Amino acid sequence: MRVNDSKDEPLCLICLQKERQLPSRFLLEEDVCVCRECQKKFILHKKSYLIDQVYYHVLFEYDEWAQRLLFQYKDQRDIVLRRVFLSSQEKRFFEKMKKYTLVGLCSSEKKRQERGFEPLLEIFSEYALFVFSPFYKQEEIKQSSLSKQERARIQKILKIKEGYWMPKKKRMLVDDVLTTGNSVQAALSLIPMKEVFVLFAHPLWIESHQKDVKKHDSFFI
Amino acid sequence: MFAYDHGVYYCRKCVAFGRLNVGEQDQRPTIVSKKISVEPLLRFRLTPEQKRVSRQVLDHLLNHKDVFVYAATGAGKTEITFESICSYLAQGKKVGFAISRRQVVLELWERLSSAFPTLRVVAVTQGYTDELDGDLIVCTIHQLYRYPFTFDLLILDELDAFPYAQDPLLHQLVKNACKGERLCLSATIDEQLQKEIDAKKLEVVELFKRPHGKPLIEPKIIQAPVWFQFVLLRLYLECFIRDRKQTLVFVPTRKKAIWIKRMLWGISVESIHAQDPQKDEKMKLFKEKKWDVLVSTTLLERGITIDSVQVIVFQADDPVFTQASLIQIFGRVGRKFSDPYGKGICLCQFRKKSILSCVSTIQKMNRSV
Repeated sequence: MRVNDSKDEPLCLICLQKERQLPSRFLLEEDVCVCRECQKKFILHKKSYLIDQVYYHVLFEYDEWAQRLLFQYKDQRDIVLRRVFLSSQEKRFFEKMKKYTLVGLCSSEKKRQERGFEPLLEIFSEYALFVFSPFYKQEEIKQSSLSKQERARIQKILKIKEGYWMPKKKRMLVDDVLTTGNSVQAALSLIPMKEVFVLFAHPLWIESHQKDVKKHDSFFI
Repeated sequence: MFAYDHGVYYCRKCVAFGRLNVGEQDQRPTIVSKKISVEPLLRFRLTPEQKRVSRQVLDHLLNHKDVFVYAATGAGKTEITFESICSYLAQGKKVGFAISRRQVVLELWERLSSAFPTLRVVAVTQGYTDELDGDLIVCTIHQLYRYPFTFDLLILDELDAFPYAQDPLLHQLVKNACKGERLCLSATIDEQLQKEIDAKKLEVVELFKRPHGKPLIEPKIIQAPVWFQFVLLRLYLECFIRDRKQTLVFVPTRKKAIWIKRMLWGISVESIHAQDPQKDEKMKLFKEKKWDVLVSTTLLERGITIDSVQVIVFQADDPVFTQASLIQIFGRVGRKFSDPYGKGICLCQFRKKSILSCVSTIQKMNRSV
């Protein structure tokens, strides 16, 4: 939701400044929610990696600014920010995503109750994309606060909900941040999928997988 | 500036410090104050200049005046606050120490804990938010949102550092957190501080002499194209390694830190930056002399003390290196009694105003010593 302090001057959802420079899609899209300055702060990556027969599609690089933004969205519960992460994407991106059954790694029940919403679901639902959540964690752990060794424990803790139904069309795992890849690995070991989409990937993960970059014909064009 | 979410409104301007729905009571930590009689445990005596400054600061604070200590890097700003801390604690008043950077909070926490072993010194910053109250609270300025109208004495270090310097919301947090006096510490004066000094809102106390009495290191400026800066960097590093000295190399960006580390083959070198998950461990290992060279972004420009370290700044004309930043960087050299000398090399393509004013400020401080 935007709050206008005057009729024709929308505000950027991130910096709350009046949109001094409207992005070029202005004439095609009514709903511009991030100003040019804030849009530049997203480090666009848009590459695909082929690792163990699975395609990883990475949209942005994870830096301190992205970390703060996600913290404000998830931990400070600034639900309005759900729109900003995919706001720069073209219509055809969403049309491509609609061809998949999107499967998400979700938060714990306790966290969901505290927040009042599921962050990953909200990001995609803004664009009429539903994310299924067949997983749950047996223990309450926050990956981002753990060391590299401790993060590997997710493999033992992540489980599938029994009897959870999902459509048969091809599935894609979605997540917000890819750091070590342990969470994604744990999910893929339970439900094998050929493609993964992440909003942000840590620079160290990107650096260690440079040789795995492989163009996916129909994803990032 | 409100947003609507499932039947409630919340403020979007201060949501970064914790969402508070309209009509909801915020959950403040329970803050306890008690009279504590304590003396600092110092490994060395304060110099006569430090004692003079410490006394002057306390006199101003007891007269309910806000104070600005304009001190050179390595002059012992932290130690001269101890007398004031002890005085306020003895009166049963609450004392807080707030800094812009997380890394410096953790270093300062260790220093204060060893200087006041009988006090419960608590660090409050990202990753350290389980304990929010103690006899002495050390926190990042962002964390001050947890402490409205709490501190009788709020010590603010490195006011010229990012992000405090450019963020009016952080200035407001400081105002809200402090119900008594502010004690500001910095080696440089920015525009905002100058305005407060000119308006007589701050009493200024100067301390330019380092405890060992030796002058600040004046960096040598070498103007050269970037490719030749790299050649010089390598030559200087080999020279310092022969003299068995460690070196900190400062570069403008994380990518350059990683790239330069790769290009310095044959040299014992590591890189470090803010997003590095192993940064705390790498700092510890560098202090233990595991590597000869550490290539860093501005992450290490402040609050870090390493024995006998030399400093080289690569592409010092990059906009990320402001005057304040360069003064702090070269202030890493010659901080210890055992080795008060050292070398600072400033490699640049152009002699920008920030570089020249850094050198002239250091010269001015040295002249007054």
